Amino acid sequence: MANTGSWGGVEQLIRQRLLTFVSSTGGGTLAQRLGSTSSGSGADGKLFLDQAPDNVTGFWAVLRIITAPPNGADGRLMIKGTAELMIHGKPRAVASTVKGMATLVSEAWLEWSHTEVGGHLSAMDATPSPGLVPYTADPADRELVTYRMLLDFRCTPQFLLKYAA
Amino acid sequence: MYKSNLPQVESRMRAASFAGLEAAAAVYENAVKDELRGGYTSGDFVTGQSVSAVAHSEPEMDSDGAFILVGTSLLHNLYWELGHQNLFTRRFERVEKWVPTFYRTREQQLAAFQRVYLRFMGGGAGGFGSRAASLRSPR
Repeated sequence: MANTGSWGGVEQLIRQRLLTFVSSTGGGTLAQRLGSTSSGSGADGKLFLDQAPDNVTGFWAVLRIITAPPNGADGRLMIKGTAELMIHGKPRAVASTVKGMATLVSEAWLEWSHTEVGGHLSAMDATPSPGLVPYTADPADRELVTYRMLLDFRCTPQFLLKYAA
Repeated sequence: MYKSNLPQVESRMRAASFAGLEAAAAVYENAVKDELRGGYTSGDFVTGQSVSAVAHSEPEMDSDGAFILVGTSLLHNLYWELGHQNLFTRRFERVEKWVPTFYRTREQQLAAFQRVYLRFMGGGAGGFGSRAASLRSPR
């Protein structure tokens, strides 16, 4: 089980939350909607960390932490960070499905928190930014659908909290 | 007869905030232009269009306070920043310039805002306030 003992663990916690959350109205998890690869890091759902494979097809998503000030807050033990989630699909006809996944992510991020002995991770705002990327002109391939979200979080990770007085 | 100076103070503070935001935006805007100067890939296709399209808005006020926007009207810049399936290279291309530069220059933006704000509020060019927030402060 992932924990906040490292940045990799924090990323995995966020990833697992997004992949496994089930809406109160049903409709399948993000992992089911994205699909999976036969092996590798997308085997439990095509939500990749930092970068997707070049040969990925269908639906896929990329998650990464874009800012997490190392100086922290609250006695330098809490980090106010932002994760970026990009949900991709192709061709353009799947845009509504991609938007549906973004909605599911907003639900998954609402009032979620993870607590463990010596660590804590809380979801804050989920902001579409800019939401659906407007690929309307060359040289962008207009058949690519991309939905971008910024997921704010607060984290008091084990790797900092262990130094608390 | 007592007459409150509060309206003048509020007006002055608002003007100082706006001037500070202009200064902070200039820091970021210049840094982004510097980043864009070499283009996104080899630099062979740089025309200067991206650099010249970096702009900022007028400072504004809303319920959260004063703010200013820095951005571009060029969609190409958005595509490179957020990624796109490139028709020429036939693969997903993403080169971020704006967001990393924003975070990298946050301290300079804040310093520029504080410096201008304090001067506007009467901190004076030689006073403590004008030096305390300056990155160029000799202290």
